[in-house]
Amino acid sequence: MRHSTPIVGQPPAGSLHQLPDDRFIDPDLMCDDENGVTLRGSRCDGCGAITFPTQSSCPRCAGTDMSAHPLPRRGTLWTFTIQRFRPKSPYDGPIEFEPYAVGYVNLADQVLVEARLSLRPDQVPRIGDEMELVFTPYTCTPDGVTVTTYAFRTVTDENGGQS
Amino acid sequence: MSIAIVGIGMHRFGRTPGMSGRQQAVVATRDALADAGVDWKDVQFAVGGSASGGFADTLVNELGLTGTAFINVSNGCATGASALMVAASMIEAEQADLCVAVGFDKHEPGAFNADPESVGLGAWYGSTGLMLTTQFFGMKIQRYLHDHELPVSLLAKVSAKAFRNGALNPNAWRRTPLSEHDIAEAPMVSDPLTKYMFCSPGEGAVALVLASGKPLRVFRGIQPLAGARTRRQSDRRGCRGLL
Repeated sequence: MRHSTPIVGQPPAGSLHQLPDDRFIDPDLMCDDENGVTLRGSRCDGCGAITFPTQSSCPRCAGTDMSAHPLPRRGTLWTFTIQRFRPKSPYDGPIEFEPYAVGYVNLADQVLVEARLSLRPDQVPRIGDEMELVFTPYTCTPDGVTVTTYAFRTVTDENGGQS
Repeated sequence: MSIAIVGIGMHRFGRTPGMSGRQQAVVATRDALADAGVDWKDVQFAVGGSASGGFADTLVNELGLTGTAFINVSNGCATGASALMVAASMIEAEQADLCVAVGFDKHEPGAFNADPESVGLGAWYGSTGLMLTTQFFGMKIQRYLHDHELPVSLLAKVSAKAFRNGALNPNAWRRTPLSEHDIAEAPMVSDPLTKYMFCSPGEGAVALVLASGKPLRVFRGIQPLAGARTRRQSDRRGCRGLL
């Protein structure tokens, strides 16, 4: 069965605290902290700058001592857009294209992370919305394996946050 | 040290079927040389570049094998400006008195599809559909409108101005004025930007002849058109334009 992209207007798939059994797009993007799986960032030992994905040197002070830094799972939507046409290769999402949302999420003023957004049906995102990390299928390989990536969705009452 | 642009040549932007990017660059360069009243054999240094139109230095095959040093630059959307900067710097450093700077391209229709690994990002960034300039511009303007409390309707106003100006320029690609309504109601590409709010990858070429004060006196007493000074820096927030 072919999975569709995390479509604007389709409920998100995703588990919050552990990696799904499906193939994940790049395991190096993730790490564990005391609460489970989260995005793997890096933190400069010298100036405290945080990056995602990890870097071996600091983009702010050029220091070369960087430590692993699990990123917060929640943040606020900093900006967003909707991808309305099917991108060319190297995009490898489903041939039958459905628009998907993309945004930058501000994680505790530590770092802006670019990500797909999983939105509820007809949901219009707003800058400032509280967001949380999820995993979502984005494509299916020719041999039928679902591939997931990380994404953010808005925090709602039913999953423990504000609406 | 005075540095002057003494000749300008251009092949019109748009789509020119049957003509390569390099051929358009040759047209622009010959026009610039004619505009300056000089010959290619007088040029002491040339610099140029293109993202998908080929190598600028191979233009010597058409312009003439005079032995002129010709350096390729590759700097995304700033390639032409970078060529200008290099040419001006060569004159400033007294390495040459008469230079050519040329930028040209012939892009496939549609958005760019850059290789994420060429800019130090993982392959996942491209395969999951995040590496698109259209998205980048959509997200950037979305935040800009938010920060400055500007209405979305402003975007169509800006585009209508650009189309109005294009209609006046014989070298422009888009020469038909469009109303704000037509622009705003066009298919959405990357919210809040519709298809007429983007500068589509296209084709065209521009060449400049630059001279120091010395040949200005030698060649027809040409008066400087403008001092050449360019500067480029990356966004301090860490955002990068992709191309």
